[in-house]
Amino acid sequence: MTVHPKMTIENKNKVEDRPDISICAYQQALHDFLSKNNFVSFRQLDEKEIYCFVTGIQNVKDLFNPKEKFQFIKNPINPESSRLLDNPHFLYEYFKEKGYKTSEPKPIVNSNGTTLFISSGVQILENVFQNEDQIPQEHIFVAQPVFRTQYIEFVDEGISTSFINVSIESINKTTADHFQNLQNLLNFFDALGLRKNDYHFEIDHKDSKWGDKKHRQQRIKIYYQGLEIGDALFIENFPQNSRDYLQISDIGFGLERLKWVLRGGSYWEQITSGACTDYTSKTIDFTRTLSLLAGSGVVPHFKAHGYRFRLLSKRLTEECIREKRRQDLDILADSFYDQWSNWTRFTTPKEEAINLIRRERVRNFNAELISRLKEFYYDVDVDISKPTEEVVMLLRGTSANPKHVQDILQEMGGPIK
Amino acid sequence: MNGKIFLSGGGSEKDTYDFDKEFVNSLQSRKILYVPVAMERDPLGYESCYDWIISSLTQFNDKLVDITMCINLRNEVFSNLDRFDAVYIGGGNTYRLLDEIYSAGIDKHLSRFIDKGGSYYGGSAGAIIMGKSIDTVLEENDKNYKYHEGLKKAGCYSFIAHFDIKNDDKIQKINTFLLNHKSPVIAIPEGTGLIIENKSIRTIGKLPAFAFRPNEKKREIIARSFFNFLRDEG
Repeated sequence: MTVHPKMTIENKNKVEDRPDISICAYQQALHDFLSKNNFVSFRQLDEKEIYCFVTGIQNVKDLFNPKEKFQFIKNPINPESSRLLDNPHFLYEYFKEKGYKTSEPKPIVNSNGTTLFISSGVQILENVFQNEDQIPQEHIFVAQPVFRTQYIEFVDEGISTSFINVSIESINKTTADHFQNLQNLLNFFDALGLRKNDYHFEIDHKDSKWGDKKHRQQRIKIYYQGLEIGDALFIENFPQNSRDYLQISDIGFGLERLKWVLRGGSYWEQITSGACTDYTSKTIDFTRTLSLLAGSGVVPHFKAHGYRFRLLSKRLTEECIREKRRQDLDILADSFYDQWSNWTRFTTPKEEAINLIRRERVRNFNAELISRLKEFYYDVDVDISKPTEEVVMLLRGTSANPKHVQDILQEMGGPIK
Repeated sequence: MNGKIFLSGGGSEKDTYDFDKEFVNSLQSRKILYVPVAMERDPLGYESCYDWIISSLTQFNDKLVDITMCINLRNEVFSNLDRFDAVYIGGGNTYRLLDEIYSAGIDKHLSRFIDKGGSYYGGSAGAIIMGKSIDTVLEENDKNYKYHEGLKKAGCYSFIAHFDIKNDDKIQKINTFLLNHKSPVIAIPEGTGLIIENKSIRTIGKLPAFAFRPNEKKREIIARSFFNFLRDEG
């Protein structure tokens, strides 16, 4: 077992206001965990304080070779077990049997939380961290739908703005418990068919802030064939106002990425169960996230929660115009509504949610049409909340040349059905 | 023609309301690239940053302000800044921010964007990096970062944010900087902002901003209208 000198107990990192014993205990438990799983130190990455650990030494030279990454795309690990993960009951029953207390996910709209939307599984315990609610005694399992705005511009294979964050959360448990939870997660991956030699871990620590509370995180990122599938965070010193610091164990993975590894092929085929290959990744992703928002009672607006809806819909419309496609996305929205309904309780009925998504797309389409016409005509400010056909009728009362309006409509791929 | 540069001294959303309003209303199509990397955050933290920016910049009218957040400076979005009206870089650790910018090589993209007429908004650390040197906040260099020279978008001036005329410690820091760098500093209080346009500066905010120059005991209040800083070029 080779551990980088900085990772050893003798060279432990200091954390302000905390006894070194916790760091010492963490490093010892980390050491034990890595040894038990035959993970050995590989190299320090990018001259930063990130250390890489692998099991399959024969694969080390290929670890950072882009050609060798993501081999599961061509050689899926286990498509059959991927299908098991479509069913939330499978996950909940598995972890319940392992002794975890299962928790219902929070609604995606985070009322009175530190963020407008839930973006991580750990937020099921937000009231414990931020408002000093009673500390749960159990290790908690949750499969939490999350929304991450930061990925809107960067949707690609493996990157989506919404996904299921499957997490194990516990507070004020020992570092040994933290690594036992991580071990249980790896055992779950083993049971699904993932192979130990295809993992690598990246280990580091960093200072972070949640709300107004600064803390330090010990972090292990879990990679499978070069794809990050999950992470294990151990927060040593989460400040509290009227009680002692909390130690938080937050271990989780992205369900869709795990399913992708198991199923192979395109990430988006996996998301749509292979049914909708004609759409671009952004079209699929934005429609899927809009279904989550619409079903959860979010309505488009220029501020707060509704802002994300409006922005996503605008991006979706831009994507469809760029692709010059007159796509009817109702079927896609319908299937995603059903998909999310398995994982979270929706407050808006399906038909209403789908209509809302369509109306906002039409509004954004009309806004783009008017924006293009404004380059030529000064008096084209008409009501964009109406169907495009009505907007075109209203434009007849302006100086816009009807033939020109039709040409621009064609350029944009034609009105949304 | 150069674009407008908005430099905020920091403060709460309420403090900077007038300045932020001026910024948003100056944008033609209200498309903003928001870069919060001066703060080291996890994904949850960056979601909070996004919540904050939409809360700050969507309060002035009912038109959609189209804000794109980017936390990876190596992303190709920086090689195509022309699709935005403005780049907004928020506060945090100034040295970390400058290190990220130079390491990713986006300083050239940012400079070109501003030179071609794009607007820039810098909050605190984001403001300081537009100056000649960022050593006005030397105490922030907690990890021995190697870059000290800013993007020099205000001639020979450097900037300091969160300035308080009653804070002797801040003034001492400025005096030390003047002694070591022999170049002037503009100190911006919280709630006040500078707008640099065509090599002139004007301020918005309740408190004045000050110019400190080497070998001059007197500090100069920067006028609300226009303050020409061409004379200090060199």
